[in-house]
Amino acid sequence: MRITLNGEPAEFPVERLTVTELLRSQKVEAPEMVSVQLNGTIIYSAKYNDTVIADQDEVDFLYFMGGGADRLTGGRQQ
Amino acid sequence: MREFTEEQLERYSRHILLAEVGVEGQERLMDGRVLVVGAGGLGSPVALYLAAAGVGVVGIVDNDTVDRSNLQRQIAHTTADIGQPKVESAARAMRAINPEVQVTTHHCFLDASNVRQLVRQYDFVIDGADNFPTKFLVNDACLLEGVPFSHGGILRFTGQTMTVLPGKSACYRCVFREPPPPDAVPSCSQAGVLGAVAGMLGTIQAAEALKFLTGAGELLTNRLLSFDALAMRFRSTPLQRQDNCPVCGKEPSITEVTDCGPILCAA
Amino acid sequence: MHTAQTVPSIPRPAPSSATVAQENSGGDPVRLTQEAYAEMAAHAQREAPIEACGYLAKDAEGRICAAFPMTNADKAEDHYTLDPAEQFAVVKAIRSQGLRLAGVYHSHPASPARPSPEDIRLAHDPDLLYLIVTLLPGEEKPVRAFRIRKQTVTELDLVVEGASLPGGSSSMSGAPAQEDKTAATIHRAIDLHGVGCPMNLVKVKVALAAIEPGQHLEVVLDDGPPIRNVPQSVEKEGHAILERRQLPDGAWRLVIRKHQ
Repeated sequence: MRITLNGEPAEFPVERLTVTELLRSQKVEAPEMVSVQLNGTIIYSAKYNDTVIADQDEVDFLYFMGGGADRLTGGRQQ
Repeated sequence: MREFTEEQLERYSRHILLAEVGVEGQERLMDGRVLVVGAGGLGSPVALYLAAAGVGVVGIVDNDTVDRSNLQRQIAHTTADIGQPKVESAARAMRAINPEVQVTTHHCFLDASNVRQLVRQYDFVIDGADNFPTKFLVNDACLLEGVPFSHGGILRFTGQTMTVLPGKSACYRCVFREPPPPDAVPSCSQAGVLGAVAGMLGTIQAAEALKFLTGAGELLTNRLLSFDALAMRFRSTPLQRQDNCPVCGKEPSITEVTDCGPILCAA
Repeated sequence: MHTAQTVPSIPRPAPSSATVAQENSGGDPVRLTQEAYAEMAAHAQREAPIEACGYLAKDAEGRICAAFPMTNADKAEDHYTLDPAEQFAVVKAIRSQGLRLAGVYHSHPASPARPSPEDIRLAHDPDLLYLIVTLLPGEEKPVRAFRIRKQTVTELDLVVEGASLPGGSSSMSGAPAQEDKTAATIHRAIDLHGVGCPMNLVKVKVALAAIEPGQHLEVVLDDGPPIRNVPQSVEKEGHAILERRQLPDGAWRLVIRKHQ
């Protein structure tokens, strides 16, 4: 199947992929830090296993990014 | 019309010359109020540019003090400021650039008890927070209060930003439903950042605030702009409001801000 | 040829017609173009309450076709002095345009358009015409032309060519600048002599912001980069340049209509 991944054409030798499989194939280290947009709809992480990507889909990986990268795990504004 | 002094004409001449800003736009900047959340890597350039632009009131909220490790990228602070509250240090730098700007410092934690009443005093908010719970708190407060804001984030060589017009464009929760689990957040070794990347992203946020106040151009709404400074490539991902967004969707479940600490929100 | 002229610089008492002998010449009327009239009237308006003054030039046909606004060195409400250096420059400019010096004009912001005793006493050049513009409302003749010879004043008929003014050719009523369609009423004026790029454009934009859409701004810009750059930028922002003319000192006068 051919999809558009992060704005670029991408080809896969299979007809279907779950979001989890796609993330794994793209070597995304921390899937929890990624939001996935499939054809304009945001797929939240709980549904990664159940959501299937098919031919001609448009997929974007949107990564969490913090602020000053100072205390990324802080619970409060510091 | 406001009477400009000769000094003001000189100071703001490069804004006034712009057809999209002009005299009226500069007046709007001088009447504008912007809150900067975080006086760190993003907040520093934002605060300095807003002050330089003559934005009427700039509020800064931050509970931290200046540390030597901040100075590699947090350009509002100097070596002499180490140990001082960041809001004071940033305010000094801003007033040194432009004594006309009224700087309001909030040396405190931003939390559910104060965030709404703080953001509602401003026309526009810059999210330069360094942690995800605060980013969600700012998003929710701005949406509930109807205050537009700019989200910004940086990591290593990358950055991302989007502008949110509450009820009109995709919000932070449309894209990222809730804070990531704390154990997924990059550890110390991965949390480095190229100093200039903070400047790149922060100045984009400052430009959005100035565009919003002056009405110039098109805001970075319904798009997530991200860049990778290693390859120096920029990409803008189209976004849209999500019907199932918990704060701006059709049936919102979030109607009040809550402190959403990393443990409470762990997925 | 007239070069530097002795001009009144003494405070003028209230004009008294008793000291002025007047007669109508009955000869050929003085012909004035719309453009020259408009220039003079606008100058008087914007200098008020001080007196405006300047030279008038005539073309080969003897028609007064250009007014050259000059500096009232006294900056006073009841007298004027031409600056000698400026007089030389203007006379030179008049000649360079193939014209001849026709006379002197000045304004009476708060008194009628007739020569005061000082105007008469100090009018030394018998060949020059003396035009006086009054800003007094309701004057039947807001502009009048005189010849002053040996302390004797002769009023001449004055015809503004192409003017569709009420009351006939030599009888104009109402404020001059409002009567003439080509004389843009100036709502604000800024002199940017010596102000370079880009501060001159900044000042033009500030001045435009202070007037209403459709109103007129008069700007004096230096020759060179200022006149090459500022009008372009002003037009790019949608304003209209109504007039653009080089002044005797080389600077340029623009009249800009603010966009609607």
